[in-house]
Amino acid sequence: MSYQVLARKWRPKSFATLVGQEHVVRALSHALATGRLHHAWLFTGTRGVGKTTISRILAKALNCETGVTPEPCNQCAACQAIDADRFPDYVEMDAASNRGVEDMAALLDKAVYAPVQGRYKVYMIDEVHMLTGHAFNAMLKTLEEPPEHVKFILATTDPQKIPVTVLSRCLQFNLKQMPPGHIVEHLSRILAAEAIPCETPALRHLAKAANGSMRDALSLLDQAIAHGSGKIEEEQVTHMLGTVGDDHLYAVLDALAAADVAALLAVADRMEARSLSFDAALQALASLLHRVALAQFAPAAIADEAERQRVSPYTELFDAEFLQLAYQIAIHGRDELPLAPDDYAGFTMTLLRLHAFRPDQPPALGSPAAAGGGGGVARSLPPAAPRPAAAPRPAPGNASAQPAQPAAAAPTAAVTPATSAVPASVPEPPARAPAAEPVQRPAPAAPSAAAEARPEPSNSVPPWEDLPPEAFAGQSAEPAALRSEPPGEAAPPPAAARPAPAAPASGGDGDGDAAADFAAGNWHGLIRRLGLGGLVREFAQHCEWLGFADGVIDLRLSNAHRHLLDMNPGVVERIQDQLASLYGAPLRLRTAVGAIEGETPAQRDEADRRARHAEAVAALESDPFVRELIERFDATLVEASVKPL
Amino acid sequence: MIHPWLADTWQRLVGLGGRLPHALLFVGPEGLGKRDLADTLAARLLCSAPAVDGHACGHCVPCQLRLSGNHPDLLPIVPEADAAPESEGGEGGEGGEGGSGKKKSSQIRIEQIRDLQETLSVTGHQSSRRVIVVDPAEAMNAFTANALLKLLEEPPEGCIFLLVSSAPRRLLPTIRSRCQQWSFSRPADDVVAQWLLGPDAPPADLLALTGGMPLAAQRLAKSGSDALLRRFVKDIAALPAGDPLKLAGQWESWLKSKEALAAGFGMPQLVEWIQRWVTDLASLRLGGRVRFFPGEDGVIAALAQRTSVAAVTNCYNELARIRRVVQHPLNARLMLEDMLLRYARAVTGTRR
Repeated sequence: MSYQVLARKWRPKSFATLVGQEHVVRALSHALATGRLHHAWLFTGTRGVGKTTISRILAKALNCETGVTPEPCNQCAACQAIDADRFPDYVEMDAASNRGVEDMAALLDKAVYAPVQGRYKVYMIDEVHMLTGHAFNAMLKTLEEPPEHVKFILATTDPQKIPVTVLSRCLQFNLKQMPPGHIVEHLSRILAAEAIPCETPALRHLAKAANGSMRDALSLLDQAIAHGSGKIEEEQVTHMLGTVGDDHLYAVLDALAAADVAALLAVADRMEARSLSFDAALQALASLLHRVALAQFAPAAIADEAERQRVSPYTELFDAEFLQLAYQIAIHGRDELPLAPDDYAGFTMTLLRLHAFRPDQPPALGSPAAAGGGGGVARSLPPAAPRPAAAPRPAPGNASAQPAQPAAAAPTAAVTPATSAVPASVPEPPARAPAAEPVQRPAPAAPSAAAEARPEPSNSVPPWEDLPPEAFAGQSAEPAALRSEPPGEAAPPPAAARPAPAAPASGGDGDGDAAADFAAGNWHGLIRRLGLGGLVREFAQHCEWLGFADGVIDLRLSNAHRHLLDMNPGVVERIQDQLASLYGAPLRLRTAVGAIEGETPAQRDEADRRARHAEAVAALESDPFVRELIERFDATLVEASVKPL
Repeated sequence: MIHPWLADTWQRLVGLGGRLPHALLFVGPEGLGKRDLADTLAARLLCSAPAVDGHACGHCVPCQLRLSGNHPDLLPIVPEADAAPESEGGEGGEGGEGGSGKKKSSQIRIEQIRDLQETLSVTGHQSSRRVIVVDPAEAMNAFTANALLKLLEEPPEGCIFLLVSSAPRRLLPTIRSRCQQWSFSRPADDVVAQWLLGPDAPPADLLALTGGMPLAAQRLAKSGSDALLRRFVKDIAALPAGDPLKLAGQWESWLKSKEALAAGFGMPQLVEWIQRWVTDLASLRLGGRVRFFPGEDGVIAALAQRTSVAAVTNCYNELARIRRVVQHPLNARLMLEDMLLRYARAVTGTRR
């Protein structure tokens, strides 16, 4: 029963039989042929790419009885002794178990003596990254200027752990990972020599699973031979590898697209029945999602034609936001797999999350709109605003006035998942629903951003062209009247974080029709209806309604704001035009400048805001928790910082 | 012994005959009998005349040595913490050295590997065949694992390494690359159902609790966790109405009680159970199904209706984080309170 695994049996014995690593072999061969020999080599690379193998061949090349040669004979006593690991001048030290400075000192003590049998004393220090710092330092002097007859070969998977002082004394060779093509070739050569029948596609699977390591490939090949009882068949190999055959993953995507939970769980069950690794599956799933996302943006980036074909349907099924979210969920799920009750539970939870945390958006709005089609509305909505999904916002009171609102609000919903995608921080619906507020409020004065920023098909006002972008972002619950400067220059307040209140079409303001407003002199309501913006609105806000008779409207502009008229004389005409189209008949607007006797809309807004502020302060002050804070910690309530909702 | 759900694997292993590689890595969730499989295989390898079905004969000299726990060529490499009960069980073991009051290491130390290297550098006692069982392989720390690398790659003639791991991700890639991996997963339902009919089978609810791992369930049943589980379910199901802080107090004394200590029931297990409970809850809320507590699906369904997806997912994540620190010597009372408050918040929807 002296079976030797393939990886050992087929360890290459000469540079000629070595697979890959041509760059190293060439350099070493030239050095050996010309006799320009460095005294210390360092081989680095991942597992199973040939570090130890190259070291042994090099040792043979140095000590072969035919002379220093790039082609050791493998026949002479020295070569055979080195292969059998009984050559007195070839010391293969396991640095991982002999890590200490004593081990190193013992080794170096012997280095001064001349070789017993060979030409050179070759010290091969494997897994050198495990040496302690002292051991490394102990070898520095010898490594720098070893005796003539000493050669060092260091090998490690982890060159990061080696001190620079050691690195600088060695000739470093970085061994590359094996390309799958090389591995397939090598495997088929070995199988031919072993007289084992095989199917080439099976080898390709093995090579892929080996992930660039020849030893992994040979271990797998051993296993495949055992599994297939002496022959290699593709089906058995895929079964054995548990390559989460992409089939399973595509099934996951299908089930997600169909929102079919049962199918999702069935995939997990099938994978468990085949003992597939859930860890690998999540990794592969993340990678697949990445490829789908890639195919969405740059189809040419996927080189493999067959794969592109396979992936392309999914680019239609999922939008970019979902793919990003799903990718993160998959990555996150893989991270916490060891913390889950068991792998199966961790995997299914991840799948369920993928299913449950679908970005919720109306079907009419695809990703293009969310990505910012360039429309004014999309631009005005800050994409980073961590606001709750706007979809559930009820708009009963203003439904008639705001048909455009759901559509306009939807991009928020679509954007939100992309920014707060980590499932751990799924934003809970905030306690204060922004929609509830405006409805309760009796008569909010300032027309809100929603009201004026969005075109309203219900009234026939044409889209206005002079709307400055600030009007979108800058609008808030704060009445415009507070600003003394022209609104066009008003710095946009950080409204991003503040939920813009839905159009407050409450009270009698929005309900009655326009004619009633004209008759009643409801100037405040009229402004709202006009949906003015910018300077024009500012102007209107500061006018007082004097009367309306015979198609002539009299307004009085407050003295303090006469500059609004001076700066922009055309403003009256514009309001006049818009009022006329609202009224349905020609109108004339007369404005006078004088002291306000009644109340302008701006003043009304301000008064209203003050009242609400006072209310909020009172509510806070009466809050038991706040009171306790004040009592216990001598806290003070900074009233200016209170913002009524 | 070979458990029914491993019979196929055993057949394949036996079928390998002379092609058995020098390093095997058994990978799969806990409670499946991977170690049993490794032990049986070791017995077969050491036996001088294995039976037709591949099992060791039990009569020959090596077998008798092994059965008395003295086989010099069977070298279990296990953490010190596991080694003590192991030698009592008569399944090998180097024998305890110095019963000092020091806490046993739960890791495999590098000295063990160095000793192993020394042992293997000479020929075996009975023959050149020596079997090394490393269980659990992930208990090797970075130094130990690296020290094993050279030996694992090219062991002396006749040495066979059997590594057992339930967390292969924590193994060095260089270790994994040197072994032939055999992976296992939850046994098929019909096989287990058959097994449940047999003697000393665990109750079905324990089997479900362990996620269908028969041996884990059996261990629980043997330690008398049945009653503990009932109490756990009763308490946690009543929690939304009760006071989490009070329950934390009760549980703290519960953990210190005699029956809990006798069953080896500690904080890690309690946290695991709560986590499983919340996993069921979250799974149900997200559209999945109840897996660990099938007997309580009514309770869980009622709870799931009260929670929001966000709250329950949050709770699940928090428990995963708690699980990360469960081995730390934290104040048990505080930990329980923290955990139960989080849970209560998730199921009652109150926010603090």
